[in-house]
Amino acid sequence: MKEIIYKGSEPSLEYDVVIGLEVHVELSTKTKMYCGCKNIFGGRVNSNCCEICLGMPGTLPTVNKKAVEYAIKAGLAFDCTINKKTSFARKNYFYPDLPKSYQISQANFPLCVGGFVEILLDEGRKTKKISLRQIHMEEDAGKLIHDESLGLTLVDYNRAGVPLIEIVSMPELSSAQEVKAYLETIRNTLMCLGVSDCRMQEGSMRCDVNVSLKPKGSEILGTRCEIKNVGSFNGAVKAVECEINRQKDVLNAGGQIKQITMRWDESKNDNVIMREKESAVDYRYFEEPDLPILEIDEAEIEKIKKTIPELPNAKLARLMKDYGIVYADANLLVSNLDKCEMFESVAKLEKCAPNKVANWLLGDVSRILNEKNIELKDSKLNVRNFSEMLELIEEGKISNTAGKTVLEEIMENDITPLEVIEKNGLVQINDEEALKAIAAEVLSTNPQISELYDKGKTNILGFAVGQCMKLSKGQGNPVIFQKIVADLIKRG
Amino acid sequence: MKLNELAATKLMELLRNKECSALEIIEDTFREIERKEPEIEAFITLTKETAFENAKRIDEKIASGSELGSLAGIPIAVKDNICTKGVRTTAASKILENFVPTYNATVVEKLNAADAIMVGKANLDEFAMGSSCETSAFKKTKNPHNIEYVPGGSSGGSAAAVAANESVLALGSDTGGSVRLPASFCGVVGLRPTYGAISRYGLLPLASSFDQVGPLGRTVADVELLFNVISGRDPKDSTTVNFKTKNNSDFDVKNLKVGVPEEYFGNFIDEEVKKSVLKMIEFFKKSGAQIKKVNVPHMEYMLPIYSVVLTIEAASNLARYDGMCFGLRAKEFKDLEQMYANTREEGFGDEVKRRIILGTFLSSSESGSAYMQRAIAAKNELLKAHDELFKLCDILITPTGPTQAFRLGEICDPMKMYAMDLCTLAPSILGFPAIAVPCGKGQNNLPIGAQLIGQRYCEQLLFEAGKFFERNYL
Amino acid sequence: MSFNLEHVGKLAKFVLTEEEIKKFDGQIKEILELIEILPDVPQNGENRVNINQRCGLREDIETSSISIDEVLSNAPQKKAGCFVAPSLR
Repeated sequence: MKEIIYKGSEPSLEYDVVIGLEVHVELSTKTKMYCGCKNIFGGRVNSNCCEICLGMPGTLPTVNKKAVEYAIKAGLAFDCTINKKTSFARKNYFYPDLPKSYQISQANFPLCVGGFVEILLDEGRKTKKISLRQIHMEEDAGKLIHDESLGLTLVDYNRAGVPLIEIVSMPELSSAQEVKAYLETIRNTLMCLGVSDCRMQEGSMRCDVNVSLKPKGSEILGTRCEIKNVGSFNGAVKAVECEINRQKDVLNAGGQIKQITMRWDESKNDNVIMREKESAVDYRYFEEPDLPILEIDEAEIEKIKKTIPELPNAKLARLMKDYGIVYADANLLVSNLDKCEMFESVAKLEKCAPNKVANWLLGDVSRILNEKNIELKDSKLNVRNFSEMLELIEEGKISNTAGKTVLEEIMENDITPLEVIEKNGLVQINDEEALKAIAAEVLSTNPQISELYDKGKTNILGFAVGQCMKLSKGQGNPVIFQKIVADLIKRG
Repeated sequence: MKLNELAATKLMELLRNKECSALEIIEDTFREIERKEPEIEAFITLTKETAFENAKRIDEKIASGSELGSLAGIPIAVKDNICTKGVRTTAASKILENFVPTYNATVVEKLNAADAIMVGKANLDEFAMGSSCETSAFKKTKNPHNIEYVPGGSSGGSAAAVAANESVLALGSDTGGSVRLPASFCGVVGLRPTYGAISRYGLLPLASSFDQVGPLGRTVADVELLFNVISGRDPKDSTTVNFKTKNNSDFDVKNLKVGVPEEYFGNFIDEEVKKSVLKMIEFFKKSGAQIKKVNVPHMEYMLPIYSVVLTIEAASNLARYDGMCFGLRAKEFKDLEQMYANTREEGFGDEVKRRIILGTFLSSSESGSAYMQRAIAAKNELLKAHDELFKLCDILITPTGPTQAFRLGEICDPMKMYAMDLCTLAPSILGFPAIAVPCGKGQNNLPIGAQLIGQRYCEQLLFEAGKFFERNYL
Repeated sequence: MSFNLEHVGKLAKFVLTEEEIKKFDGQIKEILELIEILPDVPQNGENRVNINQRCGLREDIETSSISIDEVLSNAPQKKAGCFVAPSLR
């Protein structure tokens, strides 16, 4: 592949970038799409398999009701039309991860058609609707494990038959940033619906990206190139940027874009060619004869509609409006339902300003979770102990610094904030007389403080307060110390 | 008389009255198998040991007075494209020579639950592709009536086993006539049921839209008995229906309207076959049935529709035989592509390759991809015409095969072989039930079979008409 | 319509011998000719063979998987609980 000099620049003004995406998302049903085997990530190799998902001769598929429900739910969330009659089709190709040598997917009569994904741009100040062509159901393939030492490829079919939806956009995205926003919106929405956990690191959300360039303002689409199986948001952004730059370089050098299929190589930080057009795959689709037409009842659709909760975009706008928090915080909150719920529950108690709740949640709470590599629900933090802690800070009973200690404890152990304070002696000293004694001691053991201050170096106050805090073992109220130290120096 | 020569209905009676034991039935059956099998070669695998064990188990059941299944102690041959747990299932193909399923087909589960006793896995054309049983990779089954002749196909082993008294009942599978043609050639009764009446779960697929498991026996009543055991909705097969056959207990031949489609008696039908089938029709007429001459439009569409749908579906259904998860894998290969190609080249016979290639082409973008739609549109036209036809009559009577059984090796041209299915294609394409009933014998002592075609879910009427014929025809 | 046996053979994953190519080519062209009598129709509607059936759905309830021994019992090659393919790297 031609060497690309990554400029990290915005697309050239001379070209319009046209991007379409196919996003594959694993549904979090209990069982697989066409058989009753467990749908879980990981597990011992080939331990969640049966004759059906192994494609054993003579076996037949049966359609998972929950998977259909989840797919409809996703369709409704993106304003799709649900086809009352939908049918399955075989996509035929040979590959070791596909035991039947065909994938049961949908072709001419997909479950959901039309609809759109609304993405937020420019810190939420702008929105753009990306039209969808369709959302259809299909099954995942097995996993290949390449063993270099043996010179073999091992195959694990635990993932074979896991239900997927494929969300196919129209070619209406025009930058890597839009791609990122589009993927985030899809992930947030599907997680909010509870139809997928969208864990990219576990491969439960992947996408194929189509990129083409055309002269600015032109009506005629350029030749498109496809990047298959991109497994992370950052990967998608980088793959798109690389491809835009590659195509620009080719066009600027007077070359022509050839239709190629690539894959994103994380380690090379570049796209790698898989095949050229001449060897394009002929999937020979035809209607799956083992599965009759599936009829969807209007009443069923209405029932599913009622289960759709507030969706991320609406939630984000409401968080900003109702709680006065900034876009960046609101955006982070809607991408994590547990944190969002915690935020709202605690903010509603009005123990402190909502932005402080958000700061703690997205700052120290998230940091601690990351350090322990756990989710919020796996910690002991709850609305009660979290709000008590915030209240203690707000009332000046403990300092922010002490708050961090309290947080660590209440997230780890069954202990209340008050108990932590007592155990560790963290109660803030607000008694001016006691603080004055400490400050006086600091000033007398450090005479240079007064001297320097008199020479105009007023920032020495900070140092003085620090010494006071140290002497008070962190318990003194720094605001009061500040005032006292200043008074004492001025008085001489 | 040896027990294995009796009808299943008779054996059930003897068994219940303790006039014979299951073990005696099985002993007689295996004595016959051992005597005739070297010549007939109806079976790919025999399951003697488990058959004897099962017979003893059933005798114990009888002794202890426990309730018996509705096929208790009856020997049955199972076509070797129907999965049997722990018993090799080959589809008569080299590619599955050593394939041992880990599960039972639903029909086999039902047979077990009904206390039937499987005696072995019957020979067939490779993957049920053929009309003579000659494309089997393992052996050529002979017609028990004259061993220089083929038993018909593809369920040739099943039909021959029943005709030779090597079994009392048999399961076959019918895609384009694969139960009916061999039944006709071997002089036994064979049913192709309404599409969706019997579960296909565990039947190695040829063309999913046409495949059906079908029962074979020496009498219509036996076939009816077996049908009632194996039919019904199966949650594992989404194409099965909650089957309720129309009750015809009040069957009166005088109310029967028999359609005789002119197109089935054209020049392509052998004179002796024609004569024999017309005699059957004459019998119904004399018995008081109304006989109506009818016409079936677009007979010329049958083979094209069948060829398109069958080959496209077969190419896809047989794509899983790639050397990866089960079955044969070629010894020599450099890479994945070679593994696929060498495996499939070694494992499949000519007829299978021919149909896979045709189906692959017809569904590829090169062909324009419209063949499937064209075939289905033509099929819908045929369906409309047949719905009209069945407003005029209750059943159609036609020949089953255009000829009697032919000699082994006589037909080598694939097109001539495909023409053997001309009379049996319509029910396959339309999903209608049809039963092949012996109606006489022609030259060289070879049987002739008539085909009774009914509307969907009208199996019972076919049984009643068939039984009436059996009882009253000379 | 152009029928190229070698190309289609590749699609179907066959290595056809010259003898086979000679034999199949004529036979398949003969069938293709026969098929051409099918009426040419606009593509629409429910294009499936069995239209009188409706699909039932399976409840999302786990049924037991089969043992690893059964999973691999027919595998032409196995290693470490897995099926084995030629190296794809």
